[in-house]
Amino acid sequence: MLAVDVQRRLGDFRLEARFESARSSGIIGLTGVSGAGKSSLLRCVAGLERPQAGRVVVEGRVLFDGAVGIDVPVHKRRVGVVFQDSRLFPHLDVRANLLYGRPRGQVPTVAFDDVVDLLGISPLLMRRPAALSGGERQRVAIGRALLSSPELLLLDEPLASLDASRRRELLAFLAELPARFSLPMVYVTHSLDELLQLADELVVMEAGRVVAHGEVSAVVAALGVAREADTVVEGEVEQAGGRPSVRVGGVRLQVLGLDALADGARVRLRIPADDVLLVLGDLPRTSVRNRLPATVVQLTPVKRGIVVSLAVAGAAGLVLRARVSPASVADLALCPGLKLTAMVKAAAIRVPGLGRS
Amino acid sequence: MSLTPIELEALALSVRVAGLSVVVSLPAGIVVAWVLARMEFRGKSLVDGLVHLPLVLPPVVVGYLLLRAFGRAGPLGGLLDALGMPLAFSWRGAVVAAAVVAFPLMVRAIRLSIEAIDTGLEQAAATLGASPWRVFTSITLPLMAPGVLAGAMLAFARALSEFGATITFVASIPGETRTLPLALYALTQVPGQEAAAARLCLLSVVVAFVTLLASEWLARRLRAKMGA
Repeated sequence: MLAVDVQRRLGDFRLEARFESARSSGIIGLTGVSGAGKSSLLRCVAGLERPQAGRVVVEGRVLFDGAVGIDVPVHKRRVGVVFQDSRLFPHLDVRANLLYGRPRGQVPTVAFDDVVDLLGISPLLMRRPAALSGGERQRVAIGRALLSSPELLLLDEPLASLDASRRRELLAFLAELPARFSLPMVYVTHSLDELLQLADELVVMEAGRVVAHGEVSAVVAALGVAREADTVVEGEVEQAGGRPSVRVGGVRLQVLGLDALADGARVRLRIPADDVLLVLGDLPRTSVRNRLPATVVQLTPVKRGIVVSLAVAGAAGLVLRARVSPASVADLALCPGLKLTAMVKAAAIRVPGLGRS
Repeated sequence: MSLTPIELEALALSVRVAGLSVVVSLPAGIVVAWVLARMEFRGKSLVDGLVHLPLVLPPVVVGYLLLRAFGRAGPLGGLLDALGMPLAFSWRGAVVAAAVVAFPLMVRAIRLSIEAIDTGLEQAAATLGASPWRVFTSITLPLMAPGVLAGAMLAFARALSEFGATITFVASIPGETRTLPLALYALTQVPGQEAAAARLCLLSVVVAFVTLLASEWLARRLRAKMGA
């Protein structure tokens, strides 16, 4: 359980963020543009920054309450933090870094060997941080935070300083965490793919405030086309018939790379707006696997082109978005109410976490 | 070439006085450096200036002020006299003079090393449950160790070469306050002692050089240990 309500003024910037989550395990995604106040919010929860007013409650423990003057010092909060720049202690080897936050005089809730095994860092135990790669350093930092037996784990863009391949590797480790360790985590990132793969719920911040909070695909859909034109949907894998597909409402979407997933597994799909084609009238013979009868709901001009929102027939609530040029809008005479067919190649639909993202 | 008893006496006294002056002032040096590096308060520049004063004052002035404060007639001198450990004209006074004159150099080196520490590491330690005291002893202190070593070595070297404040405060008493530079000065005041003076000169150079080399070697070992 996590309840955050912090108010803090710093020059022109005002942080007035409030959200609550009932979960006691799993990952809360926290996103927003740079300068939205995500890091400041995390620092307030960890106790590294002091809000002027508000209340922070973690698992029933009041860590901060401006009204009654409660301000638990950082080291007594039991809130673990994984920083972007890992912050390993340079004068200690990996083992000593991992053991630094070991609670004294009480039984640790997290076993040393479990963490070392999961993160694959046993060959590194005797090394100094200076001898580690960026990805290894972040793995050790995550392990170190977990081993301090926190009641809440905050991850502040832990992958931001890594290259794409290291990022994918570390994402796989991160995706394992919720199943192995029962504690709530707040994960800050700019990457929609990371959120789709990891987050169980999503909080969006803007100019110091929480502007959206809820189930991931619902929040992404509510964000507005100007910020996120791609379509995000959740569905169930269907392995029957030899050709794996994902069922969303009454629609079956053909997607590549599902072979390893079990029948009935829930997945999130990301359909890039630039990969959705609109066809009026008779369908040509094409290689495109997904052809969805749809009705134009809305046209929204964005920075680059126009986003067409479509209600897909047979899948209540599924709103598909396509980005087209103004010329296409004129050519096809696109307007709300128009019936057409939306086409998406199976290969264009992404399943974040399956290694194709 | 072996040392004469007089040379040996001056050398031993010099090393003892300089060494003790560092040992005595190091804790205060660390605290003052930490305060200047990490704390913001009114009058900070005044404290900063006061700490640096011995660096820019003529050593004779420092020695004279010490004499006025700690001499038998001085306000603090009477107290120490009553406690049976007078400073004036004693080797203890030489230690104090050396410590005061070397203090700014020591504080400067330590302060720089504290300012170079990434405070993010200390924050990380706190989020891992370390109390402020444990953060200081397990993170801050080890990371500033190279700076503490450099400050101590610098102060030791400065204390070895101390002359003006010492001779003004505790005079030049053989076996009590006559360190190497004072012994050398005494020889230069007597005609026909050029050879003896030259030997002391050489001895001073050797001591200074050994100090420098030892400090370099220690610093390198420490840096390797810190994983930097």
